[in-house]
Amino acid sequence: MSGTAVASGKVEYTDSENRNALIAVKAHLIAGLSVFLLMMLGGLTMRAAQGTWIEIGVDLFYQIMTVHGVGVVGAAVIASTGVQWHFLRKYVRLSNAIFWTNFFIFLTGVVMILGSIFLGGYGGAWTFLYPLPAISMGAWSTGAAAVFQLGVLIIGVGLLILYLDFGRAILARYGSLARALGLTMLFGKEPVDPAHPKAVVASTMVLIVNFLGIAAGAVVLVMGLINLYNPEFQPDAMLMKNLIYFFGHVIINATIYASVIAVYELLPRYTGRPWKTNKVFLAAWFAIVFMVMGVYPHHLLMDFPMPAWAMIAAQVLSFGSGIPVLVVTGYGALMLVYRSGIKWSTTTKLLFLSMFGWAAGVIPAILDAMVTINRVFHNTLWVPGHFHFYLLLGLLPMIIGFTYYLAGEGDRNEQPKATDSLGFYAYLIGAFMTSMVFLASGANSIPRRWAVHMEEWVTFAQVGTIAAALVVLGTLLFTLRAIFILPGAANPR
Amino acid sequence: MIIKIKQEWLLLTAFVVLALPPMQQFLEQSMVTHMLVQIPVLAIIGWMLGKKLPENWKSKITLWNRWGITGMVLAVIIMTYWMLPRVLDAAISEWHFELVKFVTVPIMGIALSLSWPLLNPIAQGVLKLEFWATFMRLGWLYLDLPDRLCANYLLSDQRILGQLLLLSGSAWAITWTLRIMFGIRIIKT
Amino acid sequence: MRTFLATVFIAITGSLILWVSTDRGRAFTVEEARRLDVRENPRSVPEWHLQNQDLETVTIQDWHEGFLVVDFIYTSCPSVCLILSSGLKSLQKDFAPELEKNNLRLLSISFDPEKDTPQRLKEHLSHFSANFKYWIAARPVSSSQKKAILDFFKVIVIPDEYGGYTHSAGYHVIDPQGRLVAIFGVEQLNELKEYLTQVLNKENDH
Repeated sequence: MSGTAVASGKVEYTDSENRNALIAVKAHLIAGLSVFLLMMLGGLTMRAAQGTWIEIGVDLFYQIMTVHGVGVVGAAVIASTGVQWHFLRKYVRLSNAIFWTNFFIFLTGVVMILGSIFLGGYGGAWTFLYPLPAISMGAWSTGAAAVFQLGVLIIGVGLLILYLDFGRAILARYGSLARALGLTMLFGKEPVDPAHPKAVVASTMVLIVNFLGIAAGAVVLVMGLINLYNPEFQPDAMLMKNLIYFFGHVIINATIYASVIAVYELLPRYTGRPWKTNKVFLAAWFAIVFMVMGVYPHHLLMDFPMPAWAMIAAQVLSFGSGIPVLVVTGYGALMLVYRSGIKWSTTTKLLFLSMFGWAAGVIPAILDAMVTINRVFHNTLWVPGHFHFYLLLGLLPMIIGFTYYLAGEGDRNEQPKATDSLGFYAYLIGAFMTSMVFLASGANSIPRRWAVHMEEWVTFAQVGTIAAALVVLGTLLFTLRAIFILPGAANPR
Repeated sequence: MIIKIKQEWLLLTAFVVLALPPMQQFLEQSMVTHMLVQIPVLAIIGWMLGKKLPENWKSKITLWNRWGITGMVLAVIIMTYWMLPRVLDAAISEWHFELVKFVTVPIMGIALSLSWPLLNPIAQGVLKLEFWATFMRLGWLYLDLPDRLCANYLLSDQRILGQLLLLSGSAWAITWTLRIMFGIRIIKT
Repeated sequence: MRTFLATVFIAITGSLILWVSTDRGRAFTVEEARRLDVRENPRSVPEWHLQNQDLETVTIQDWHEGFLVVDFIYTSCPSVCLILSSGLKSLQKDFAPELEKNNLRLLSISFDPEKDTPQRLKEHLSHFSANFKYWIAARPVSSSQKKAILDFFKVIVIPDEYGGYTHSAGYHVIDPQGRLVAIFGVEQLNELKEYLTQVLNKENDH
C-alpha cells in the first residue's frame, strides 16, 4: 500500500485558487465573529432586562432569546467550518465553489430566520420544539414558524452540500471514511503513520456526525412543517424532541471538534515541535464519533417518559465523552508547550485558553449529565452555564486565535498590542464570570428562559450583565481587529 | 437452447403485462403494491428503456439536458405529482388518470436514466439524502396519521406501507453507511 | 442556454400542473377535494327514491322547507358510523327548536341496502334515541340508485378486512333549494354546528 506516501503529500492548488480560498475563509470568519458580537449584545440585553436595568417587552425578550440561540449556533457553525476548511483543503482537494455556495445558502437561511423572528414575531426558541411552533397563542403566525424552520432546513442543505464535497474529497484520497479516520491503522491493518493529518481525522469525524445530524434534521423539520399545516398529524412528541436534540446538539457539539483542528495545526508551528499521530489519538477520535452522537440525551434526562436505558447510556456517554479528546488533546497540548520556549502571543494565549475552557467545561457538563442532578437542574440557568462555558471559553478562543493567526500575528512575531491584551483579559474575565454566574444561578434554582426574574434573582442577573458587558468589550476589540486587519492580511507562510 | 430475445421486447412485454386489467386490479387493490410494486416497476421499465435509446437520440436530448438538470427537474415534478394522494385515488377511479400514470411514470424513468449519470456528484448526494428523507417522512406520516390519505385504501394498508417505507429507508441507510465507511458494496452500481 | 430554457419551461409548467391539481394548494386528498368542490360549486341533488325505516318511499327533493344534514352509514358498522350518528343525535338535541320549526331535518342513508332492512334501520335510529319525525334512516331501492347516490356525493366505499366497509365519512348539508352546499368531516362537528347556526339564522331573518 502506498498509503504512507499519499497521506503525507499536500494538495497543490493554483495561486488564484489559493487567493480565492483565503478570501472565502476570511469571509466566514468575519461573518461568524460579527454575528457572535451581535448575539452577545442580544445576550447582554436579556441579562440587563432580567437585572431590571432596562425594560423590554416580554415578546421581544423571547424573540431575542430565539435569535440569540439560533444566531450563536449559526455563527459557531460558519466560523468553525471556515477553520476546518482552511486546514482540510491542504490534504484533500476541496472545491472553492462549493465552499462559497454553502456560505451564500447560509446567508439566505439567515435572512429567512431573521425575517421570521423580527417581522413574523417567532419566539419559540431556536429548538423549535414540537408542538410549540404551532401553538403560539397569537404571538406569531403559522407562517412565521414555518419560515423559521425552512430557514434552518436551508442552512442544513447548504452544510450537506459542503459535507458531501468533504466526503467526496476524502473518499477520493483515502478510499473509505474508515481509512481516513485511521481505523485501519488503529486496528493494525496498516502501519501507523505519524504524519496522518489530524485535520483529516477530525474532519471525517465531524463529517460523519453532522451528516447524520442533518439527515435527522431534514426529517424532523419537515415533520414539524407538516404539523404546522396539518394539525391532524400529531407525531410522537418525545421522538420529535429526540430527533431535534440529536440534530441540534450534534451540530453545535461538532463545531468545537472542527475548530480544534486549529490547535492541532497551529500549536506545533508556534512551539516548533511536531505533534505526531498515534494510536491513542486515533482511538480517541474513533470513540468521539459515537459519543458526540450519543450524548444529546443529557438534555432530556428530566423527561420521565424516556426509557431508562437511554438515560443510563446518556449518563455514561456524557461522563466518558470529555475524556478521550481531552486526554489526547489537552495532554498533547501541554506536552507540546512544556519547556518549548513558546512566545506567548494573543493567538497562543487564546489557543491555550481554549484547552482550559474545554477541559474545565466538562465539570458542569458532567454534573448536568447526572440523572439525579439533572432532574432538578435542567430547567435552571445551570444549562446555559454549561454551554456558555464551552462556547465562550472553549470554542470562541479557538476561532479567535485562528483569526489572529490568519491576521498575520504569527508571521511578524510582534508583541501583542495593548488593545489586544485588554481585549484578551476583558474577554477572559467576562467569559469566566458569565459562565460562573449562570452556574451559580442554576445552583440557586433560578429557572432558565424566564423573561422576568423574581426580586431575589435580580442581583445574579445584574452581575451577569456586567460580565456580559466585559465579554462584549473583548469580542468587540477582537472583531474590530478582524474586520480591519484580516481583509488585507496575506496567507501566513 | 437459448433463445436470444431482445431486451426491448422484454420491456414491452413487462409493460403490457402491467397494463393488463387483471394485473392492474391486482396491484392496485392494495396501497402497498400500488406504490411499492406497480409504480417502481413502471419507473424501472422507463429507466431500462432510457439505457436502450439510440445514441443519436441521446446526444440530441443531451443538448437540452446539460448536467442532467432538465431531466431531473422533470423527474422530480412527476414524482411529486404521483405522491399527491388524490392523484393516486384518481388513477383508480378514472381511466384517463390511469393512462397518464402509465405514460408519465415510465417517462420519469427515462428522464432519470438519461440525467442521473450526467448529474454533479454533489447534487446526486443531496438528492439521494432527500429521497431517503422522503421515505422516512412518508413512512412516519403514514404510521401516525389518524385518517386515511387515499379514499380507496384502508387505514391498515396505509400503516403497513408506512412500516415498509421506514424499513426500506433504514436498509438503505445501512448499505450506504457500509459503503462509505468501510468501502463495502452490497449492490454494485 | 437551451438547457436553461427547457428547465425553466418544465419547472413552470410542472409547478402549474401541481398547483392546479391541488386546487391551488388547498386540497391534497380526495376528501379535501370533494369538500372544497361543493363549497365552491353547490350541486343540485337529483331525484332519487329511498325507502325509509317505515317502508315508505321518500325522495330528498320532497323536503323543501329547510336544511337537511345527511350522513352515510351501514348499521353493522363498529366505528365511524357510530360517531357520525352520535353527531346527528347531538344535532337533534342542540337544534331542537329549529327541528320543531321545520327548518332542519336529519337523514342517514345506508349504502348496504341488502343487509339494512327497514327493521334494522329502525333499530339503528332507536339506538340513538332518534325522533322519527325529524330524523329518518333510508336505503336506496336499487343498486343503480345506490351507485348514483354515492357517485353524486363522491362517497367512496371499500370493503374492509372484517367483512364490513371503510368509507368516506362526513356530514353533508343540503340547503332549502335542494343543493349540496357543504361537507364537514366527522371531526368537524363543532364547525358544522356553527355553520348551521349561521345559515339557519339567516334563513329565519328572511
